Amino acid sequence: MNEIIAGLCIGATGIYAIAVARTFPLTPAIELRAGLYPQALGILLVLLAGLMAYGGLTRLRQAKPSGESAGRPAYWKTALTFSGMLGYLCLLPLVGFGISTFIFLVIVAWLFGSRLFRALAYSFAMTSLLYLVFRYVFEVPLPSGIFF
Amino acid sequence: MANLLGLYTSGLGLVFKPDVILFTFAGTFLGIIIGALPGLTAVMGVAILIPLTYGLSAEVALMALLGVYCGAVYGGSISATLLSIPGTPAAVMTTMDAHPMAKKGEAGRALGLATVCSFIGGALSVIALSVSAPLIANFALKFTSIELFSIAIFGLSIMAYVAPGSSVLKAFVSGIFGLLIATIGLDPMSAYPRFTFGRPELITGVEFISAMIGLFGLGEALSQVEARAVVAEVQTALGRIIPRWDDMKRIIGTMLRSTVIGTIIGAIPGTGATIASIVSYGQEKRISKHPERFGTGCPEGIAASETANNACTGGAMIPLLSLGIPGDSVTALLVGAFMIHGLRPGPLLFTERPDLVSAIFLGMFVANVFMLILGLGGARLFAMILKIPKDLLNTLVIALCFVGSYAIRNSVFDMEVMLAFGALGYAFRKAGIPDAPLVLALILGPMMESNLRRTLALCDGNVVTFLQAFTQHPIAGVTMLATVALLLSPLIIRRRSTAPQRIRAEDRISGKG
Repeated sequence: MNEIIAGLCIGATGIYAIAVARTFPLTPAIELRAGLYPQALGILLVLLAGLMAYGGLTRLRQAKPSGESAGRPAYWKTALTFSGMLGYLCLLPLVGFGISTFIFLVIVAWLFGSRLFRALAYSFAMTSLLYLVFRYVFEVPLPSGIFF
Repeated sequence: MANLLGLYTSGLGLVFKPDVILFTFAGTFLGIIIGALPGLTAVMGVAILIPLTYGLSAEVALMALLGVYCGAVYGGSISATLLSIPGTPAAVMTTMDAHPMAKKGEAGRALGLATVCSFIGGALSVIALSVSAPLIANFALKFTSIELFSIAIFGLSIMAYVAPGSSVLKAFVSGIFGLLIATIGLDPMSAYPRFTFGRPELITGVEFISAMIGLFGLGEALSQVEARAVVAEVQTALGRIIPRWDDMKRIIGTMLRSTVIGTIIGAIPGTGATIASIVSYGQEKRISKHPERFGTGCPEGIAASETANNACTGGAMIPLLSLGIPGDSVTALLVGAFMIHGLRPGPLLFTERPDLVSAIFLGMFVANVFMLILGLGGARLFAMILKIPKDLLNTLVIALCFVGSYAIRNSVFDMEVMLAFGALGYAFRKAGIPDAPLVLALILGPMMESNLRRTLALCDGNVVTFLQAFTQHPIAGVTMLATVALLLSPLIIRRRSTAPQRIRAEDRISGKG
């Protein structure tokens, strides 16, 4: 099933690339248009991704339903972690590195199985350590928000 | 000859400086820890540590990263021995014999053998690197755009063909996808911005290091978050670690053969340490008088796997330094480390910075010596490190992915790029698509496109003249023929393997079978 979804998504990217590359202008005195090479890649990608999706579909039809769910990965955790990451990138410019990183790492540590107190301790220690190392050792100006 | 001798000695002053030695040692130490901890790999370690080397000088940064590389490939053997879980994929064959040996109460013997074999493989491959790379680079200096194009396309094709654990089709999907991503930014001929979505940050293309941190660091961490925790017992009673002379005498032949296998496989773009250790282990088992002993705690099994996977480190550096084509994912990341310091690996590096090339040869050798000392002296410490909680480790990896990608250009946009590539890496893992061809395509894509278009421009855009040019440039012609043969070989192999099956099926239908 994953192969089919991946094949369709990659194929769609290929189609998008072809469509966008067609709009690239032709520069006089240059033999090849800027869009020709990406267009060729896009066509190849659509073909190969299509083959991959077809292969996945064939395997899916041949596979017997197992009905086992005990060993299945906890996808909800990945979805939550990814959402947390998106939230972190939105929060970072607003409230600054310290607060946003601390909140984000508490969520991540909890999703990785830490109990709340342990998650709080890890996050506080890591945020402080990263701040000190990057701010003062590597002299990286970390994002500051409305608080500090 | 005098030139070669000069090349080897010019880096002495760079390597034997206190800061370089200190960072090589620290890199090797950190690399062993990264390799030993299941879930953290050499490529992930190098990816998340590159931003930390940004403020260092080129030689210090490269030595530290080479230390991480050599250390991490070896470190995988520690958890393979003590936990029966390979710390890195390259240690998967080590598990077969090292853990049974540890279960017999000889964990120290297994670790000692793995350490010495890793050192021998690593050190001999560095010698092979320092002999072959200058010769190939000298030859490569004469290459024109048509040779560079054909070598780039050959590198990509071979990588797709040999990508471990995946189908050729998926490897090609990954490679072509990488080539498409590599077109983001200014067109190399007309300077027209392509696929930049109006973002000025994308004018120079996708930030390579951020992309790699996402692909290897975050992608792996996202896969770990949903994985069910496996509690494994750590063997802590090690016993004698320094190998006995009897054991060493027994495995000398294995070590030499495995070094040759590892170095050659490492030099082929896209192969890497995992394939080298599998091939070497299989070869030793095949030629052994007692193949039944493999998998029961046999010293030759440990030697075959560990010598070969560490021999890959020197082998993978051969195409990187001499042609600018990385041999595996870690050396692909090292291209990024070179670029951070305004350098570009390839034949020109031998004329522009011979001292740095020499320092790389010497530094890799020094890293292998440190690996030997740390492995034999610190085995008990590394055994204790295996007890670090996974939740702490994975949280730290995610934090470093974000802060590290930000620190490269002090840009939140680079964090967004990292997150996008993290999602891509996760999706690739789920769909069983290898990420190594994508990485190589990101590096070789601009080289391939610009040299293709330059050659076409020289041929006035005439395809027939372009094809005729291959007959006038024998290296390009032979490389292109090899590429075509490589691309067609899966179809031929499939046809040959399916023909007897088809005949058998037809026989069954007609009632003959």
